[in-house]
Amino acid sequence: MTKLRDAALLAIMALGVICSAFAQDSTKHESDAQTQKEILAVDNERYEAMKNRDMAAMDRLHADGLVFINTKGRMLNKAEYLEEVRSGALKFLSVETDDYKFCIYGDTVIMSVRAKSVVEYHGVVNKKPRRFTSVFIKMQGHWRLVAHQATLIADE
Amino acid sequence: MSVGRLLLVIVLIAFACPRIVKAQSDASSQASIQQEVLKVEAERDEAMQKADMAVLNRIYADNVVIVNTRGLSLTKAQRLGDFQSGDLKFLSFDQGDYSFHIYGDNVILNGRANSVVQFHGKVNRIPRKFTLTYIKLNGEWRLVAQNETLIDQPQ
Repeated sequence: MTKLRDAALLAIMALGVICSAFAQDSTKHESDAQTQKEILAVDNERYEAMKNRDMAAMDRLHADGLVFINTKGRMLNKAEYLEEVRSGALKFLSVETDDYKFCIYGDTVIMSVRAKSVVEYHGVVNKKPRRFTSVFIKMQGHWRLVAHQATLIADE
Repeated sequence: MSVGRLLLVIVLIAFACPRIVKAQSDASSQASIQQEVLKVEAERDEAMQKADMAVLNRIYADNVVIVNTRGLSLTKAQRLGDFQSGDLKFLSFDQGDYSFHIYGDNVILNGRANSVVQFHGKVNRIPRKFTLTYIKLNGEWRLVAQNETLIDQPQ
């Protein structure tokens, strides 16, 4: 009888541990899905701000220490990047992105995306597909882009 | 000096001192993080040249996001596989011009590489810019993202 009771107790404890692990997984899954949504919303805002040259939004969405490396391998700081948008040196003629990948580490998100957007840069139109990596960090409750690098996808 | 002025000076010193101490402490902490990350980066550089899989496995985070100079997105297994098989080899190694941005346990490390690399039989001598993102996970700095872009050469 005692053995049976011990076995039942063990089974209940094991079930508790499994349920707790599932609950944690499920909570993390929901939290990651929510974070992805927030990042996608922020990234959409960025595209809107770039298209409309909304410099107040651009300033808000990019960290002061932003490092931006474009497809030419040129490294820009926040002031230089915002100036390219403000002056019209960098213009999006169309926006098309897919193949999103997210890696979430608490308040830091790595986002990898393929873009087929058509971009005009200093008067030259670039239709080549590219892949970029963006790093977002939540600062004082707001997601900000801290690093971005774009690389052209080579012809196979 | 009047008592009023003396009090004002004392108040000003009392106000400024903790800020100066904090600024010095922040700068020292940032310098220490830079040293830690540079040490890991030196280990990674050596491991890449020797194809030391144990070290590479320890430094690359399991979910690392890698974009190579051809715009290919690679997983950790693919990148480590390239080193192990010899598909990715360094014929010479030259990397530097580092800049750091530190956000708590997140480090954005930018730099320039002039290394000569052989990738799947093709030799690449074009210099490139890179962004490495390191995050401290369970007390260890791990590489969570790496993106490389060829530097456009003037025609």
